[in-house]
Amino acid sequence: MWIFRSSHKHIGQDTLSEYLDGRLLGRPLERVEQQLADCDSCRQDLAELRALVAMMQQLPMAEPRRSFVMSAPPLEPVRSRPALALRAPNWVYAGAASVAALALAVTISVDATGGLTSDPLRQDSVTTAAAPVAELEEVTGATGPISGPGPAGQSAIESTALSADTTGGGTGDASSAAAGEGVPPPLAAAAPEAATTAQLVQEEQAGGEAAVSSFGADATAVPLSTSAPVVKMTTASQDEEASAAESTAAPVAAPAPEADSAGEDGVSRAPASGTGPTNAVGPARTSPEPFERAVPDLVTDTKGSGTSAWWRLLEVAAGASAVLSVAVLVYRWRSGRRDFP
Amino acid sequence: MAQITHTSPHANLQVTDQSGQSSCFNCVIEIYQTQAYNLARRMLSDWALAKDAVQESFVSAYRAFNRFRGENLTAWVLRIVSNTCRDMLRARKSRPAVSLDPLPSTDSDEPQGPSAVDLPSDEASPEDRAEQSELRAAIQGCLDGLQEDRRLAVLLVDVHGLSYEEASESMGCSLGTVKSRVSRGRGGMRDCLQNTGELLPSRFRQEV
Repeated sequence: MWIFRSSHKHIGQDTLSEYLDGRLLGRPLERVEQQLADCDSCRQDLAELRALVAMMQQLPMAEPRRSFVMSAPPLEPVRSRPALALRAPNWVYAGAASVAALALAVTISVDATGGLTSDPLRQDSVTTAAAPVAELEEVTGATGPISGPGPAGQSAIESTALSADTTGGGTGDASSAAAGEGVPPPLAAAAPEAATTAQLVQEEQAGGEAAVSSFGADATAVPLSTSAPVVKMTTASQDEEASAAESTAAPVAAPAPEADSAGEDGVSRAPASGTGPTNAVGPARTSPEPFERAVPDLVTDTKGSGTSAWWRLLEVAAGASAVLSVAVLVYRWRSGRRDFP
Repeated sequence: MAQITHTSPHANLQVTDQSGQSSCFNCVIEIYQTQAYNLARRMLSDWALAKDAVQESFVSAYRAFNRFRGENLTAWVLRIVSNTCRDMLRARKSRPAVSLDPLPSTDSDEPQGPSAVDLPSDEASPEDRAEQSELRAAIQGCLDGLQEDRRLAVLLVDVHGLSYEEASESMGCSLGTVKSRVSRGRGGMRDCLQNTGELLPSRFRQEV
C-alpha cells in the first residue's frame, strides 16, 4: 500500500485516489494526512488529482436529442437470440464436443485394433472347427442355430428327428435372419456343402418368405446328410442369436464334406462347389481344418465388411458431431453473446 | 428500490423485477437515458454508435428486467450499457475497416462536429467556449487512450458519480479491482493531459 522512497515516504497512487474519494478511515487516514503534511510533492500530486477529478465531474451531460422511450414493447428478439439449438450454455457444446471426440477416438481405435464384433466370430469358427461331429445339423445349422443355439450342437449328434424339430423351431428366425442380412453368396459358394448352400441360395432368391420353402429343402436335405456323416459345426453361433450372419456363416464354414449329399440341386447352385466335391470325396473328419482356415477368413471378411460399415457410420457420426459442436462454440464465441445480470 | 410509477403520457410498459415488483419501463428509460447516453458516448466516442448502444441496452434491459433483483437500478442499467458498449468496441476492433475516429454524423438531429466532446455548453464567451471545447476534446482524447476497463471505471466513478460499490456492481468486478482501475485511470488521465498541449497545465494550475 505504501511506497517507501529512500528519503521520504511517498503516498501511493491508489492510496491517494482513495483518500481523495474519502474512502480512508482511521489509522490509514491519519497516516496519509501526516504524510501530506510532511511531503510537498505528495500535496502536489493530490492537488493535480483533485483538479482532474473536478474537471471530470464538471463534464456536462448531453441530453439525447430524442427520447429512447418505447412506444411498444420491443419485438421478440430476432438477431440477438439465436436459434433454439444455439441457446444452451456453452458448457453444453463443450461437453458435447468432448464426448463426441472421445467416441470418435474409441471407435477409431477399436476399428484399428481389429474391431469388436469380428472377434467372437473368429472364436466361433475356431471352436466350431474344434468341436466336430454333427451331421445333418448343418441343415438345421443353417436355419436352426439362431433359434436354439445351445442345443443345436448336441441335438445334431442325437437324431435327425431332433434336428428336424430344431430346424422347425429355428426356421423362422433363420430365414428372417438370412433375408435381413442378405447372406452373401460367397459364403455359400465357399462352403461346398450342398444342403446348406441350397438353402441359402433359395433363401436369398425367395427373400424372407422363402424360409418355409427353404425349410422344405432342409427336410429333403436331412435324409441325404444322414447318409453321409459329416463333421458339422452347426454349433457355431451358439451364443449369439443376434448375429444372424454368424449363424448362417458358421454352418457354411465347416461342412465342406456334405457336398455329396447336397448333390441334388445344391451343387448346381453353388459355383464354388469345385472345392466342395473334393471335400465330399475326402473323409469327412480329416478335412475340416484347412477349410476352417479358409472359411473363417471369408467369414470375417464379409463379416468384417458388415461390421466396419456400421463402425464407419459410428465414426463418421462421432466425428461430425464433434466438429459441429466445436463449430457452434466458435460461432457463439464470435458472436460474443453475453448474458445480463 | 422505490417503485417507479407511471407519470408521463407515453405507453406504460409494465415490467416486473425478480422480487415481483412491477415498474413502468418507459419511466425507467426517462430516468436513465441521459446517463446511459453519455456513458455510451464517452465509452464509444461516437454519436451514432452511442445512440445504437443505448437503444440496444434498453431493449436488453426490458427483456432482462425479470432478472433484476430490485436493488440498485442505476448500477444495473449502467452495467447493461457498459456491456453493450464493450460488445460494440469488440465488434469494432474485429472489423478494423471502420475508422476509430468519430465520423461526421449524417443524422440531422445530432450536432455536426469533429468529436463527441463538442457539446453545447452553457453561456460563455467565445474564448471560454473555445477553451472549454478544446479541453473537453483533450479529455475525450485521453479517455480514448485509456484501457477500456480503466476508462469505464473513471467514467462511472468520476463522471457519473457512482460509489465504488455501485461501480463494482456495474463492472462486475471486485471492490479492490474498482479501486485499482479508478486509480490507474486517473493516473493515466493526468499524465495524458499534462502531455497534451500547453493549455492544460495552466488549467491545472488554475484549478489548483
